[in-house]
Amino acid sequence: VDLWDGNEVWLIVRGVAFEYRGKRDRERWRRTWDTLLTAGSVLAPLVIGIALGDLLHWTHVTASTAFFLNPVELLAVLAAIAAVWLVYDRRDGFAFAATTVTMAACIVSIFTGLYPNVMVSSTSKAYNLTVYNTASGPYSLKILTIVVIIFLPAVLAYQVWTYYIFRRRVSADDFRPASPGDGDSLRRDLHV
Amino acid sequence: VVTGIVQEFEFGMNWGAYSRLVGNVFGAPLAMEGLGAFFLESTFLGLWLFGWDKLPRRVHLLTIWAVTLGTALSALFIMAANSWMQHPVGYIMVNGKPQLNDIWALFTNPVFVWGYAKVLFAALVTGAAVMLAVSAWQLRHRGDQAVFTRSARLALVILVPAILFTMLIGDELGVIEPGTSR
Repeated sequence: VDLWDGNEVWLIVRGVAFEYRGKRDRERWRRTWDTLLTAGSVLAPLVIGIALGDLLHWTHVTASTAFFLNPVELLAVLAAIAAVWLVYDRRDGFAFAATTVTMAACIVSIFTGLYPNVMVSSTSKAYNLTVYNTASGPYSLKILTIVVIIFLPAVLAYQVWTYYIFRRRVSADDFRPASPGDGDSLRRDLHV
Repeated sequence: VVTGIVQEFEFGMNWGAYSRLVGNVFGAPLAMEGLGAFFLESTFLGLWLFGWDKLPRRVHLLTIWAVTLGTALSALFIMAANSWMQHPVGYIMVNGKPQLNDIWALFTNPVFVWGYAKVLFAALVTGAAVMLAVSAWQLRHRGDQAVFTRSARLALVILVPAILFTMLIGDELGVIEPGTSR
């Protein structure tokens, strides 16, 4: 959990870097935020990986299962290889789809592998967190199921839309001076 | 958006014992907040910040309204959770732990209804005061007169009634909140 919380620092650094970078027109200021943004972006997935790896660390892998990948794990590996190849082949859309499959397959394989545990205790089996002892009461779960049925399609829809809007690779040509927040756009927003 | 991330983790780390005890009730509005508000707010903020050249102007304007809606919804669920702490309703005790049995009670909790109204008006006060201060600074330092006269006027029109309502609602909240009196 400490690790997870440490990771938050990088997510937050990354979150504010987008905004703070443009706040002052000083070379050093911008360079500093550029560095922090890059560091945050590199460290966040790294630490997430370590945290997820740690989840599995205390589960006992037997020799017979260690060498054989189940279909989901195999899918994750193949999709990751495909993603690298597609990036080199400059087929961005398919590369993106392949990394999406990799991530989904990793998450599915980790949690189906752990089931019925959610987090395995490093000291005693008695302290394992399982789907049974972490679940809410039936009433809460029913309410949240309804909430998920209502909101999840909407969330998925606007996430897909966002990815569609920002589907092009960003290049240096994209940076023209006019952006929201300058005098001109404020003037337009206020209709004066 | 960023401060929300910190708080989610504080629930787990600083207030772990509290979360274990009341998670069954408290978790419900928090989960709703995450799914119904946090994603809305953060996704559309990204669209608004980086979508100027990619979206039609009206759609770009709509994205900031979606952020506003997400923020207001976020406050709604967080205030529902907080109001339950001030005045617990809609639960039964099972094995020494509160268990949710009426979600509707959480959102009709009088502390929530008045508390949420107060938060919304207080947010308007804060926003309008900042906007007025920026406009005033700009007018004094020879910024764009037309733009900032207009924004100062808008800020004042919002600020004055918002202060009044914040005070009136705050008074009502003080009257109904258990353990406090006029």
